[in-house]
Amino acid sequence: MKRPTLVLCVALSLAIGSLGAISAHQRAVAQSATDEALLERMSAESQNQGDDGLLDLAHQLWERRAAIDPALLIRYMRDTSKSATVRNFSAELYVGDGGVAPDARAKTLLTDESLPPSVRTTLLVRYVYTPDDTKMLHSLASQNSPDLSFHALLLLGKANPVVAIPEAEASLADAVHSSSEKRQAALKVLARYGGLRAKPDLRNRFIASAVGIINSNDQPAALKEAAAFSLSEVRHADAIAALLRSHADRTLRTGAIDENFDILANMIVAPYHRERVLLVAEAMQDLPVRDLAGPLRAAADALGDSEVSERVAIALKAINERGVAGNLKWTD
Amino acid sequence: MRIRALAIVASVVGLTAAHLCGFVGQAEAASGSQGYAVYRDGVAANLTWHAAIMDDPHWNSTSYPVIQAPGTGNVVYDTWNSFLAGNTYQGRYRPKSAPSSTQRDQFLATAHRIVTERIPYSLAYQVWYNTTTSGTYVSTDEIQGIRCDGVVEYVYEWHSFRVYGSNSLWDVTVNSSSARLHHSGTAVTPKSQARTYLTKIADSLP
Repeated sequence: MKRPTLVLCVALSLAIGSLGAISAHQRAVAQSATDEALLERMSAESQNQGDDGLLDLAHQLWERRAAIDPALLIRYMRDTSKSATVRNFSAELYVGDGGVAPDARAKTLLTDESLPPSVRTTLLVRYVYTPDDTKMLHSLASQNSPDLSFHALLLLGKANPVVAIPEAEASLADAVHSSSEKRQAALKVLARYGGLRAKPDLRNRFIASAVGIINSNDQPAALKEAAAFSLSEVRHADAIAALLRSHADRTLRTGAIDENFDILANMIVAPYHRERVLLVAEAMQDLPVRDLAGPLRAAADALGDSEVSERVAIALKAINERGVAGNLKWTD
Repeated sequence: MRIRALAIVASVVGLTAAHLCGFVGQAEAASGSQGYAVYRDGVAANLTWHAAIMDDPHWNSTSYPVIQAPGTGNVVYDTWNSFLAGNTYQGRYRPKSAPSSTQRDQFLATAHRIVTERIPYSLAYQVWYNTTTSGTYVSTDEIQGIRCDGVVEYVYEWHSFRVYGSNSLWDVTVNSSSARLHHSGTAVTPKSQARTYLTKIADSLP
């Protein structure tokens, strides 16, 4: 072996030896520097390229999410000089795979009003909550940020419906003091966690409120849409019938018929109700569903009513010409 | 809007909109470019694009013709100028299996449903959700984060129109960590979604 080669080998061995001697702290610092460089690049690029151009950088960071120092991510969430994109993505990275309860540090972040609402909302929706979080969620639901309060009330409904249902009813009834976003969340809380199928009184109040919003001339469009989709989400004959009789526009009616095709089918079985058969036949003009052809035909035959037969024939024509299959995903 | 106006008139005389639509003539269905996906370039030196769903039949400069996940914030109804953001329009696209007007109505309803959920943006995944708490199929209320191409992917695949993905993992609405991961990172981007997994209808403005 010639001398220069020998020297190089010795140097290389020493270098490798020293690498092995790097402490966990030094490795963390080196890793952190790389993570920070990527976050920094993301912040710079998101200012002038738009968010979708950051997919590769986001992917690189996401792949190493378990090793990123949480303190670095918190620093980026807080740093007002960074782009909104990188601050929100730092929140995504911080929660990581999510699906767990927030720890004490996460709760501190959630309630830290110096953080932007979008960062807190990103954190908020990715954790799982229990009744022990009622006070925090209730407080967040009362804040001025539309998105934060919307999601906090929804999550309160999931974590503690006993507290959330009366709160949602009160918000829904108070059009003067409750924001549109809070009333949108209230509608969804009642539809999802109110147990409306088993509570006729609460269900009737809910339906009356939702239909009142849809039919009003002075409510925000977003609230009307939330009211219609919430009625649909109840998946109960009374709710879908009320929606179909309301002033909801075609898109909302289509969505509701799509989600409730099996409920509509069950509305036209024996004992047959003339008005319900007519209602379902009419609904087929908005969204003709092939699964309803058989039940409609059977109902028309059983009722032997000329008007019903005529309207069912029109519905069957629509189903034949442009019908779609019922989407079983809704019945999950 | 026409249906809504008819409904208001009808309510005065004790009829519902369904009475008018159902028995005076066929209801107005999705028309123009409603329910189709639209794309623009200008992202990351044109390496990828930006996606949205057409809500109105045609683009216009005065209303909110698209539904998009604009980056920061939620999925929203937005203006044509906000969608373009000074970049170049890249055409309108549909699923490879051509949807009917009725199916495009379903797309619109699902896109509207996404808007009402105020879903935050996600960079890492097309669609992010909790695999433990979500049902067999991920409904819109279970989505915790969504990307611009995720809106298109979710809307079409909820209605079983395949866009991106392998034979076993293509449906982004099926709850599984594998399907979720399959639609993450750069496996599919707005540009590849449009050019590889959808069919271009036209280059002209919608």
